[in-house]
Amino acid sequence: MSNGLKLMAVSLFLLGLVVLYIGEAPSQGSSDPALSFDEYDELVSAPVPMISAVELAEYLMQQEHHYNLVDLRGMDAIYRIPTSETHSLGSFLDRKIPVNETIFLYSETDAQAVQLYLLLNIRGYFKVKVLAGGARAWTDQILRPNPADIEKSQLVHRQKLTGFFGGAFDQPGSRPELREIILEKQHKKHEGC
Amino acid sequence: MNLPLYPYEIISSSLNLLLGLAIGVGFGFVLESGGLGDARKLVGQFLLKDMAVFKVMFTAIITAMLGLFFLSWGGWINLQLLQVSDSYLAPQLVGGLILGAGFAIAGYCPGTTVVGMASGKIDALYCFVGLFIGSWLFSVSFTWIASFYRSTHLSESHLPDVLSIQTSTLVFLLILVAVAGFALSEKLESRHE
Repeated sequence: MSNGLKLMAVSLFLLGLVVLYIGEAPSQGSSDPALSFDEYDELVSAPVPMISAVELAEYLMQQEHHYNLVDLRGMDAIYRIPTSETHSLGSFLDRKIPVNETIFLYSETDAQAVQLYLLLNIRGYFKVKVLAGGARAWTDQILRPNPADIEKSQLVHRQKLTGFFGGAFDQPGSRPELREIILEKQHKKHEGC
Repeated sequence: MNLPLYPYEIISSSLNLLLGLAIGVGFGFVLESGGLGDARKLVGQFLLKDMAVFKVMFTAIITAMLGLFFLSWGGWINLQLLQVSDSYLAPQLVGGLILGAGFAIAGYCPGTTVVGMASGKIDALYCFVGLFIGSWLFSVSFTWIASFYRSTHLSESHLPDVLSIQTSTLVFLLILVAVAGFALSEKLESRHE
Protein backbone atom coordinates (compact mmCIF):
# COMPACT_ATOMS: atom_id res chain seq x y z
CA MET A 1 0.00 0.00 0.00
CA SER A 2 1.52 3.35 -1.04
CA ASN A 3 2.04 6.16 1.47
CA GLY A 4 -0.56 8.35 -0.26
CA LEU A 5 -3.16 5.62 -0.04
CA LYS A 6 -2.31 4.95 3.61
CA LEU A 7 -2.78 8.64 4.40
CA MET A 8 -6.12 8.66 2.56
CA ALA A 9 -7.26 5.50 4.36
CA VAL A 10 -6.41 6.97 7.78
CA SER A 11 -8.12 10.29 6.94
CA LEU A 12 -11.23 8.48 5.72
CA PHE A 13 -11.32 6.30 8.82
CA LEU A 14 -11.06 9.37 11.08
CA LEU A 15 -13.85 11.09 9.11
CA GLY A 16 -15.91 7.93 9.55
CA LEU A 17 -15.40 8.10 13.30
CA VAL A 18 -16.55 11.74 13.28
CA VAL A 19 -19.67 10.69 11.35
CA LEU A 20 -20.38 7.94 13.88
CA TYR A 21 -19.91 10.40 16.74
CA ILE A 22 -22.29 12.93 15.15
CA GLY A 23 -25.00 10.32 14.62
CA GLU A 24 -28.17 11.31 12.78
CA ALA A 25 -28.37 14.66 11.07
CA PRO A 26 -30.59 16.88 13.25
CA SER A 27 -32.15 18.64 10.28
CA GLN A 28 -33.73 15.47 8.90
CA GLY A 29 -37.14 14.16 9.80
CA SER A 30 -37.83 16.62 12.59
CA SER A 31 -41.59 16.23 12.99
CA ASP A 32 -41.78 18.33 16.11
CA PRO A 33 -39.78 21.48 15.40
CA ALA A 34 -39.19 24.02 18.14
CA LEU A 35 -39.51 27.79 17.61
CA SER A 36 -38.02 30.60 19.63
CA PHE A 37 -40.38 33.32 20.89
CA ASP A 38 -39.00 35.73 18.26
CA GLU A 39 -39.53 33.23 15.46
CA TYR A 40 -43.06 32.51 16.66
CA ASP A 41 -43.81 36.23 16.86
CA GLU A 42 -42.49 36.75 13.33
CA LEU A 43 -44.50 33.82 12.01
CA VAL A 44 -47.88 34.82 13.41
CA SER A 45 -47.48 38.49 12.48
CA ALA A 46 -46.54 37.75 8.85
CA PRO A 47 -49.40 37.77 6.32
CA VAL A 48 -50.80 34.35 5.40
CA PRO A 49 -50.52 33.67 1.64
CA MET A 50 -54.04 33.46 0.25
CA ILE A 51 -55.49 32.34 -3.04
CA SER A 52 -58.91 33.54 -4.12
CA ALA A 53 -61.59 31.06 -5.17
CA VAL A 54 -61.40 32.32 -8.76
CA GLU A 55 -57.60 31.98 -8.88
CA LEU A 56 -57.82 28.46 -7.46
CA ALA A 57 -60.53 27.51 -9.95
CA GLU A 58 -58.42 28.79 -12.84
CA TYR A 59 -55.41 26.85 -11.53
CA LEU A 60 -57.35 23.59 -11.15
CA MET A 61 -59.02 24.02 -14.52
CA GLN A 62 -55.63 23.96 -16.27
CA GLN A 63 -55.22 20.33 -15.09
CA GLU A 64 -51.48 20.42 -15.67
CA HIS A 65 -50.08 20.96 -12.19
CA HIS A 66 -49.13 18.64 -9.38
CA TYR A 67 -50.56 19.91 -6.11
CA ASN A 68 -52.21 18.88 -2.83
CA LEU A 69 -55.65 20.35 -2.21
CA VAL A 70 -56.60 19.71 1.38
CA ASP A 71 -60.15 19.82 2.73
CA LEU A 72 -60.11 20.25 6.52
CA ARG A 73 -63.88 20.13 7.09
CA GLY A 74 -64.06 16.49 8.11
CA MET A 75 -65.99 13.65 6.50
CA ASP A 76 -69.45 15.23 6.91
CA ALA A 77 -69.08 17.87 4.18
CA ILE A 78 -71.48 17.24 1.29
CA TYR A 79 -69.60 18.96 -1.51
CA ARG A 80 -65.84 18.83 -2.02
CA ILE A 81 -63.72 20.80 -4.44
CA PRO A 82 -62.65 18.35 -7.17
CA THR A 83 -59.25 16.65 -6.54
CA SER A 84 -59.28 17.64 -2.86
CA GLU A 85 -58.43 15.15 -0.12
CA THR A 86 -60.00 15.20 3.32
CA HIS A 87 -57.58 15.42 6.22
CA SER A 88 -57.44 16.48 9.82
CA LEU A 89 -54.55 18.70 10.95
CA GLY A 90 -52.70 15.71 12.35
CA SER A 91 -53.33 13.28 9.48
CA PHE A 92 -51.96 15.70 6.91
CA LEU A 93 -48.80 16.38 8.94
CA ASP A 94 -48.26 12.62 9.20
CA ARG A 95 -48.10 12.31 5.41
CA LYS A 96 -44.58 13.78 5.36
CA ILE A 97 -44.76 15.01 1.79
CA PRO A 98 -41.72 16.90 0.40
CA VAL A 99 -41.45 20.48 1.64
CA ASN A 100 -41.42 21.92 -1.89
CA GLU A 101 -44.86 20.60 -2.87
CA THR A 102 -47.65 23.01 -3.72
CA ILE A 103 -50.38 22.84 -1.09
CA PHE A 104 -53.77 24.56 -0.99
CA LEU A 105 -55.74 24.42 2.23
CA TYR A 106 -59.39 25.11 2.82
CA SER A 107 -61.87 24.72 5.63
CA GLU A 108 -65.41 26.04 6.10
CA THR A 109 -64.04 29.55 6.61
CA ASP A 110 -60.31 30.27 7.06
CA ALA A 111 -59.62 29.35 10.68
CA GLN A 112 -58.49 25.72 10.49
CA ALA A 113 -56.71 26.22 7.17
CA VAL A 114 -54.64 29.09 8.64
CA GLN A 115 -53.82 26.91 11.65
CA LEU A 116 -52.47 24.14 9.39
CA TYR A 117 -50.64 26.74 7.28
CA LEU A 118 -48.74 27.86 10.40
CA LEU A 119 -47.88 24.28 11.35
CA LEU A 120 -46.62 23.59 7.82
CA ASN A 121 -44.68 26.85 7.68
CA ILE A 122 -42.80 25.92 10.87
CA ARG A 123 -41.86 22.62 9.22
CA GLY A 124 -40.33 24.37 6.21
CA TYR A 125 -43.15 24.10 3.63
CA PHE A 126 -42.91 27.20 1.49
CA LYS A 127 -45.54 26.74 -1.22
CA VAL A 128 -48.68 26.68 0.92
CA LYS A 129 -51.71 28.89 0.29
CA VAL A 130 -55.04 29.17 2.05
CA LEU A 131 -58.28 29.48 0.08
CA ALA A 132 -59.52 32.95 1.05
CA GLY A 133 -62.97 32.63 2.57
CA GLY A 134 -62.82 28.82 2.58
CA ALA A 135 -65.49 26.54 1.16
CA ARG A 136 -68.12 29.25 1.53
CA ALA A 137 -66.20 31.55 -0.82
CA TRP A 138 -65.90 28.66 -3.31
CA THR A 139 -69.67 28.17 -3.27
CA ASP A 140 -70.41 31.90 -3.52
CA GLN A 141 -67.85 32.71 -6.22
CA ILE A 142 -67.54 29.52 -8.27
CA LEU A 143 -70.53 27.22 -7.80
CA ARG A 144 -73.38 29.71 -7.40
CA PRO A 145 -72.08 33.18 -8.10
CA ASN A 146 -74.46 36.07 -8.31
CA PRO A 147 -74.06 37.70 -11.75
CA ALA A 148 -74.73 41.09 -10.18
CA ASP A 149 -71.46 40.79 -8.21
CA ILE A 150 -69.34 40.11 -11.31
CA GLU A 151 -67.82 42.72 -13.60
CA LYS A 152 -69.39 42.65 -17.06
CA SER A 153 -66.05 42.03 -18.79
CA GLN A 154 -65.56 38.94 -16.59
CA LEU A 155 -69.02 37.42 -17.04
CA VAL A 156 -68.19 35.03 -19.89
CA HIS A 157 -65.00 33.83 -18.20
CA ARG A 158 -66.73 33.33 -14.86
CA GLN A 159 -69.62 31.48 -16.48
CA LYS A 160 -67.08 29.15 -18.06
CA LEU A 161 -65.41 28.58 -14.67
CA THR A 162 -68.72 27.95 -12.95
CA GLY A 163 -69.86 25.56 -15.67
CA PHE A 164 -66.57 23.68 -15.55
CA PHE A 165 -67.00 22.96 -11.85
CA GLY A 166 -70.61 21.85 -12.22
CA GLY A 167 -72.28 25.01 -10.90
CA ALA A 168 -74.60 27.63 -12.39
CA PHE A 169 -75.17 31.34 -11.97
CA ASP A 170 -77.57 32.10 -9.15
CA GLN A 171 -80.93 33.21 -10.54
CA PRO A 172 -83.59 34.85 -8.37
CA GLY A 173 -86.17 32.26 -7.32
CA SER A 174 -84.24 29.22 -8.55
CA ARG A 175 -81.47 27.13 -7.00
CA PRO A 176 -79.92 24.98 -9.75
CA GLU A 177 -78.58 21.54 -8.85
CA LEU A 178 -74.83 21.05 -8.79
CA ARG A 179 -73.39 18.64 -11.33
CA GLU A 180 -70.76 16.31 -10.01
CA ILE A 181 -67.52 16.57 -11.99
CA ILE A 182 -64.38 14.49 -11.86
CA LEU A 183 -60.99 16.04 -12.48
CA GLU A 184 -57.87 14.04 -13.17
CA LYS A 185 -55.07 14.88 -10.77
CA GLN A 186 -51.62 15.19 -12.31
CA HIS A 187 -48.86 13.05 -10.85
CA LYS A 188 -45.59 14.60 -9.84
CA LYS A 189 -43.27 14.87 -12.81
CA HIS A 190 -40.05 12.93 -12.47
CA GLU A 191 -37.05 15.21 -12.70
CA GLY A 192 -33.45 14.18 -13.07
CA CYS A 193 -32.02 10.90 -14.31
CA MET B 1 -31.45 25.58 4.72
CA ASN B 2 -31.46 26.44 1.01
CA LEU B 3 -30.03 23.45 -0.83
CA PRO B 4 -30.78 21.92 -3.28
CA LEU B 5 -31.17 25.20 -5.17
CA TYR B 6 -33.76 24.25 -7.80
CA PRO B 7 -36.40 22.55 -5.59
CA TYR B 8 -36.21 25.58 -3.27
CA GLU B 9 -36.80 27.76 -6.37
CA ILE B 10 -33.64 29.78 -5.72
CA ILE B 11 -32.57 29.23 -9.33
CA SER B 12 -34.70 28.93 -12.45
CA SER B 13 -35.18 25.76 -14.49
CA SER B 14 -32.92 27.06 -17.29
CA LEU B 15 -30.14 28.05 -14.87
CA ASN B 16 -30.49 24.61 -13.30
CA LEU B 17 -29.93 23.03 -16.72
CA LEU B 18 -26.94 25.31 -17.38
CA LEU B 19 -25.46 24.33 -14.00
CA GLY B 20 -25.99 20.67 -14.91
CA LEU B 21 -24.15 21.26 -18.20
CA ALA B 22 -21.26 22.99 -16.43
CA ILE B 23 -20.99 20.22 -13.81
CA GLY B 24 -21.22 17.62 -16.58
CA VAL B 25 -18.37 19.24 -18.50
CA GLY B 26 -16.34 19.41 -15.27
CA PHE B 27 -17.06 15.74 -14.53
CA GLY B 28 -16.05 14.81 -18.08
CA PHE B 29 -12.81 16.76 -17.70
CA VAL B 30 -12.02 14.91 -14.44
CA LEU B 31 -12.80 11.54 -16.06
CA GLU B 32 -10.53 12.34 -19.00
CA SER B 33 -7.78 13.56 -16.64
CA GLY B 34 -8.09 10.27 -14.72
CA GLY B 35 -7.58 8.36 -17.98
CA LEU B 36 -11.14 7.08 -18.17
CA GLY B 37 -11.58 8.26 -21.74
CA ASP B 38 -9.42 5.34 -22.89
CA ALA B 39 -11.12 2.00 -23.56
CA ARG B 40 -7.96 0.02 -22.71
CA LYS B 41 -7.93 1.48 -19.21
CA LEU B 42 -11.61 0.71 -18.75
CA VAL B 43 -11.24 -2.87 -19.98
CA GLY B 44 -8.30 -3.22 -17.56
CA GLN B 45 -10.86 -2.92 -14.80
CA PHE B 46 -12.74 -6.02 -15.99
CA LEU B 47 -9.45 -7.93 -16.25
CA LEU B 48 -8.55 -6.72 -12.71
CA LYS B 49 -5.28 -5.33 -14.10
CA ASP B 50 -6.02 -1.63 -13.73
CA MET B 51 -8.33 -0.58 -10.91
CA ALA B 52 -8.47 3.13 -11.83
CA VAL B 53 -12.22 2.99 -12.62
CA PHE B 54 -13.02 1.47 -9.24
CA LYS B 55 -10.80 3.98 -7.44
CA VAL B 56 -12.17 7.03 -9.28
CA MET B 57 -15.81 6.01 -8.94
CA PHE B 58 -15.58 4.89 -5.32
CA THR B 59 -13.69 8.09 -4.44
CA ALA B 60 -16.50 10.08 -6.10
CA ILE B 61 -19.14 8.12 -4.16
CA ILE B 62 -17.37 8.54 -0.82
CA THR B 63 -16.73 12.26 -1.44
CA ALA B 64 -20.36 12.90 -2.42
CA MET B 65 -21.65 10.80 0.50
CA LEU B 66 -19.55 12.62 3.09
CA GLY B 67 -20.34 15.99 1.51
CA LEU B 68 -24.07 15.32 1.64
CA PHE B 69 -23.88 13.95 5.18
CA PHE B 70 -22.04 16.98 6.57
CA LEU B 71 -24.12 19.49 4.60
CA SER B 72 -27.24 17.80 5.93
CA TRP B 73 -25.86 17.70 9.45
CA GLY B 74 -25.12 21.43 9.24
CA GLY B 75 -28.68 22.08 8.07
CA TRP B 76 -27.63 23.45 4.65
CA ILE B 77 -29.22 20.78 2.50
CA ASN B 78 -32.55 19.01 2.69
CA LEU B 79 -31.89 15.42 1.59
CA GLN B 80 -35.62 14.82 1.29
CA LEU B 81 -35.61 17.02 -1.82
CA LEU B 82 -32.90 15.14 -3.69
CA GLN B 83 -34.28 13.15 -6.58
CA VAL B 84 -33.95 9.42 -5.97
CA SER B 85 -35.25 7.08 -8.64
CA ASP B 86 -37.61 4.30 -7.65
CA SER B 87 -36.18 0.78 -7.39
CA TYR B 88 -37.36 -1.94 -9.79
CA LEU B 89 -35.30 -4.94 -8.75
CA ALA B 90 -35.62 -7.41 -11.65
CA PRO B 91 -35.49 -4.92 -14.57
CA GLN B 92 -32.61 -3.02 -12.95
CA LEU B 93 -30.71 -6.29 -12.47
CA VAL B 94 -31.19 -7.22 -16.13
CA GLY B 95 -30.42 -3.65 -17.24
CA GLY B 96 -27.24 -3.69 -15.15
CA LEU B 97 -26.13 -6.95 -16.74
CA ILE B 98 -26.77 -5.61 -20.26
CA LEU B 99 -24.91 -2.38 -19.45
CA GLY B 100 -22.03 -4.36 -17.89
CA ALA B 101 -21.78 -6.66 -20.92
CA GLY B 102 -21.79 -3.66 -23.27
CA PHE B 103 -19.19 -1.95 -21.09
CA ALA B 104 -16.90 -5.01 -21.17
CA ILE B 105 -17.28 -5.51 -24.94
CA ALA B 106 -16.95 -1.87 -26.00
CA GLY B 107 -14.68 -0.62 -23.26
CA TYR B 108 -16.96 2.35 -22.60
CA CYS B 109 -19.98 3.16 -20.46
CA PRO B 110 -22.35 5.95 -21.64
CA GLY B 111 -20.47 8.68 -19.72
CA THR B 112 -16.98 7.64 -20.79
CA THR B 113 -18.24 7.22 -24.37
CA VAL B 114 -18.88 10.96 -24.48
CA VAL B 115 -15.54 11.65 -22.77
CA GLY B 116 -13.70 9.41 -25.26
CA MET B 117 -15.51 11.04 -28.18
CA ALA B 118 -14.67 14.53 -26.91
CA SER B 119 -11.00 13.55 -26.88
CA GLY B 120 -11.22 12.30 -30.47
CA LYS B 121 -11.38 8.50 -30.05
CA ILE B 122 -12.97 6.79 -33.07
CA ASP B 123 -14.08 3.71 -31.08
CA ALA B 124 -15.96 6.04 -28.71
CA LEU B 125 -17.73 7.56 -31.72
CA TYR B 126 -18.94 4.09 -32.77
CA CYS B 127 -20.12 3.48 -29.20
CA PHE B 128 -21.95 6.80 -29.26
CA VAL B 129 -23.83 5.75 -32.42
CA GLY B 130 -24.55 2.36 -30.79
CA LEU B 131 -25.91 4.13 -27.74
CA PHE B 132 -28.52 5.88 -29.87
CA ILE B 133 -29.39 2.70 -31.76
CA GLY B 134 -29.85 0.91 -28.42
CA SER B 135 -32.05 3.74 -27.10
CA TRP B 136 -34.13 3.66 -30.29
CA LEU B 137 -34.55 -0.14 -30.06
CA PHE B 138 -35.62 0.24 -26.44
CA SER B 139 -38.22 2.86 -27.41
CA VAL B 140 -39.76 0.86 -30.25
CA SER B 141 -39.88 -2.36 -28.21
CA PHE B 142 -41.17 -0.70 -25.05
CA THR B 143 -44.76 -1.91 -25.55
CA TRP B 144 -43.56 -5.53 -25.34
CA ILE B 145 -41.31 -5.04 -22.31
CA ALA B 146 -43.43 -2.50 -20.41
CA SER B 147 -44.84 -5.02 -17.91
CA PHE B 148 -41.34 -6.32 -17.08
CA TYR B 149 -40.01 -2.74 -16.98
CA ARG B 150 -42.51 -1.92 -14.22
CA SER B 151 -42.21 -5.19 -12.31
CA THR B 152 -40.76 -5.75 -8.78
CA HIS B 153 -41.36 -2.13 -7.87
CA LEU B 154 -39.94 -1.15 -4.47
CA SER B 155 -40.68 2.61 -4.76
CA GLU B 156 -38.01 4.91 -3.38
CA SER B 157 -35.81 2.73 -1.18
CA HIS B 158 -32.95 3.91 0.98
CA LEU B 159 -30.33 1.58 2.41
CA PRO B 160 -30.61 2.79 6.04
CA ASP B 161 -34.36 1.99 5.95
CA VAL B 162 -33.91 -1.36 4.23
CA LEU B 163 -31.12 -2.41 6.62
CA SER B 164 -32.74 -0.70 9.66
CA ILE B 165 -29.55 1.12 10.60
CA GLN B 166 -28.70 4.78 11.14
CA THR B 167 -27.38 6.78 8.16
CA SER B 168 -24.16 7.51 10.07
CA THR B 169 -23.57 3.76 10.61
CA LEU B 170 -24.04 3.12 6.89
CA VAL B 171 -21.63 5.97 6.04
CA PHE B 172 -19.02 4.49 8.39
CA LEU B 173 -19.50 0.98 6.94
CA LEU B 174 -19.12 2.28 3.37
CA ILE B 175 -15.91 4.07 4.39
CA LEU B 176 -14.57 0.75 5.72
CA VAL B 177 -15.58 -0.95 2.44
CA ALA B 178 -13.83 1.82 0.46
CA VAL B 179 -10.61 1.56 2.49
CA ALA B 180 -10.61 -2.23 2.16
CA GLY B 181 -11.44 -1.92 -1.56
CA PHE B 182 -8.58 0.50 -2.19
CA ALA B 183 -6.10 -1.79 -0.36
CA LEU B 184 -7.32 -4.80 -2.36
CA SER B 185 -7.07 -2.80 -5.61
CA GLU B 186 -3.42 -1.99 -4.90
CA LYS B 187 -2.71 -5.65 -4.24
CA LEU B 188 -4.41 -6.75 -7.48
CA GLU B 189 -2.54 -4.12 -9.48
CA SER B 190 0.83 -5.06 -7.97
CA ARG B 191 0.24 -8.69 -9.03
CA HIS B 192 0.17 -7.58 -12.69
CA GLU B 193 3.13 -5.22 -12.55
